[in-house]
Amino acid sequence: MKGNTAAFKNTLITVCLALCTLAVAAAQGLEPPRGRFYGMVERIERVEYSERAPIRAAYDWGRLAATRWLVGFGLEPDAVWYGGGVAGLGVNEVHSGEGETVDYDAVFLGLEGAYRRSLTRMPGAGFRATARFLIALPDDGEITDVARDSVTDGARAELSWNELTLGVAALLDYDAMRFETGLEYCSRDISQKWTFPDASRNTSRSTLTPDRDLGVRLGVALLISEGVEARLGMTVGHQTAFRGGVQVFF
Amino acid sequence: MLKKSACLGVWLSVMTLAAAEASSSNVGWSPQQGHLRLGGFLHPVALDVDEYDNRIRVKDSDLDYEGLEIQYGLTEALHMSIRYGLVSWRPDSEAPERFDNGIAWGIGLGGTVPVRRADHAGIDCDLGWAIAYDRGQPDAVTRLDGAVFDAELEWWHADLLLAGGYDQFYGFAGLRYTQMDLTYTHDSSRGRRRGGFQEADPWGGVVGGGIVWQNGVVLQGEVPLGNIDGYKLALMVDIGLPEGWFK
Repeated sequence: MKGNTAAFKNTLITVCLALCTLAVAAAQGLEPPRGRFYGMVERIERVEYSERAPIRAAYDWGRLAATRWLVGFGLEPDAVWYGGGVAGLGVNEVHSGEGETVDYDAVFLGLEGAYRRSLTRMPGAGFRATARFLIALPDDGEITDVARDSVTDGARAELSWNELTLGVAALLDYDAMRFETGLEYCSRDISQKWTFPDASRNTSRSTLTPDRDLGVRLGVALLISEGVEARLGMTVGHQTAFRGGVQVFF
Repeated sequence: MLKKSACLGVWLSVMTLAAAEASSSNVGWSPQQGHLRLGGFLHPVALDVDEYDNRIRVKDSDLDYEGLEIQYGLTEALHMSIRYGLVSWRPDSEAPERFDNGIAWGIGLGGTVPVRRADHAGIDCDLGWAIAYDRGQPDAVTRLDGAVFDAELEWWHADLLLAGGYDQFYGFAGLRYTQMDLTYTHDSSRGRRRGGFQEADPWGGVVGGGIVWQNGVVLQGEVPLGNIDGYKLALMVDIGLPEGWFK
């Protein structure tokens, strides 16, 4: 898996550089139909979870965190619809109730879409509905903080993670900026598998279910120049997450 | 939680749209475009926290944070801030250990959208928002058994406010979401161990106010509402930068 990650990383960087060059060269802020390219850092500070079938039944809770470096590329066929793909690299972190932290290098792949309408009676105002499906390819983990007992010493951990995020938000254009506020729903399917060095214990697979799935989304996009905007966003509630990046239209 | 998130999301959306047709001006809560505010602040807080590995509730975990702050009005509707100072932390008000003053820093971004503008003398009203991130590393604590505990403090808050200004006075009140990660680490025979505390309830409020003297000195205070006790008091000088300085 580590070899796959490295190969994917090199390919992704090459594709990103090529797309960046094309996008920046062509960026003119054209009216739809037009293309859209963005780069984004997404930091999930905390997602609290309950664990089904943990290694130790007494510790069936924990916290997730993640850092993602994502690029997205897609098309707006008109002023209403958007569809595209997402890819990236990052780290998923699982901190279990036993006190153990495991970091997983991850490759992310996904699809996303959006539907946007303006309110005719309120210039500059509108709403947008979004959807994104993202998977993290399974990868081996590295224990960075040890548990309070030796149960996982020498064991190998693997994490699989996929998520569906739906959002609906009000938009307001004001002073070269666009504000966004609304609701975000996120359904996550996460499982962690342990393989123990002691053959008599075999493996353990548990499901990590986030405690909450609904949150509030805040965001602002600042128009830097024609066809280029900087974006910052935050989600609170089901997770505390922050996003920042640059988006180019061409 | 679900109901709170839904209500807040809908309310925010309505407020965002309600602000769509107002015109522009300034309330003292936010520095004007091209203005720099420099000053100092005191920010002690105490809150109930949960030790997340043991699920134990601890009362009055307290932090003392003080330092220097710079705010700058990037545009009429957007400002940024940076902070640098000292922070100390006592995890439990009844515990003897206190992580003494260490370096802390923070960044923030905020903005306003006008909701109501008075024609002449009267109260202006803005919808305000702010996001702030602060991080600190107090001095290590050596326990009696010789174990050395390091601490790392990290906290975020997001505000959504209504701010009003009249003459040289202004006030604000609204919702505040605060997340705190107060983490300690130490060596063990099997490797590095990490544990810590998180806020017992992230949802709360904030209310505050200030005065702008002679368009040059700003005194501002705020009090959090909910799980967190404390205050923030800031005294700043407001300087209008000449044309061409970052404008």
